Amino acid sequence: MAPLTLEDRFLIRELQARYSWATGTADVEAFGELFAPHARVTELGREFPPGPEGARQFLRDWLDRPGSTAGRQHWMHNRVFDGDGERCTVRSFVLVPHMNPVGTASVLIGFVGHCRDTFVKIDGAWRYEERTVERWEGEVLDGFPDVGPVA
Amino acid sequence: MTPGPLTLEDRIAIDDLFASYAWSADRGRMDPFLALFTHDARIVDPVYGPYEGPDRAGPRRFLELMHENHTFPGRQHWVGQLLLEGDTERCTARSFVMVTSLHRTGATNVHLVAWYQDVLLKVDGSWLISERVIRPWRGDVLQRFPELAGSQ
Repeated sequence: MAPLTLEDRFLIRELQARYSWATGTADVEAFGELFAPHARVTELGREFPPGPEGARQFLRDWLDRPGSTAGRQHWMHNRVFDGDGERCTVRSFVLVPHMNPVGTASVLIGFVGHCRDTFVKIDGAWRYEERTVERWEGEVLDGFPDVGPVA
Repeated sequence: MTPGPLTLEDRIAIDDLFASYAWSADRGRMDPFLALFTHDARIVDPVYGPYEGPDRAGPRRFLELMHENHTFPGRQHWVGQLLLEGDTERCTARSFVMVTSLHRTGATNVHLVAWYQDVLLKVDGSWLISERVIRPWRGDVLQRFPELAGSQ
């Protein structure tokens, strides 16, 4: 198995950036193109149908939620790579600032969490195979004794 | 000779360029800041500017204004989600930017969410900013959100 190269890391980072740009600009079509035909998206325990169309359904669902999602940016940071030149899992911090899109600008933090992304190389191009997003609570804090759920 | 595609070295150098921009601007350090720009560089700000002219007059004026803005010290420019298109001599870049602000009272807030649209040139082997357009995360970039139709 070929090892994960520096180029692979940059290409995966760029794919994540395209994810962020597609969600932040509501580009549903471009969003689907980031996913493998068998890809799975799970958000806060909810699974969406497989493949690019399922991923688009996830984004449409997110965009339709009460309260405007316009003005959000999905930041992924502190990536930890684990894999090879064909398949790679990346754990990242996720931070979503939300600036109100009209009126006097003010910014809230819409989400703080983490994601676990698995990428697969298909015909030489990296694509999302699986994406799981969770809040920064619960199992991820299992190194701490006696941490209860966030109210 | 036709320039080739962006190399890993180019991408890492551009990462360094953006990090140096944040460090020099947020520390208010003029000479390191100016060194990141081409001689005729321009900065376009959503409210003021554009700042342009020979001998890096644009970036110089831009940072001078930050020096005159008493609310600027304490801010940090976080840049990420970078997308590059171009070759080993010239490329365009899009990136997210988030500005945090530590106030003298000790309070901290997120001051701004925005994006950069840049033209970068390699000059004597070093990547430099030829044009930086600073755009707020509102307006045209959100044009696909139907709930904003007619509100901007």
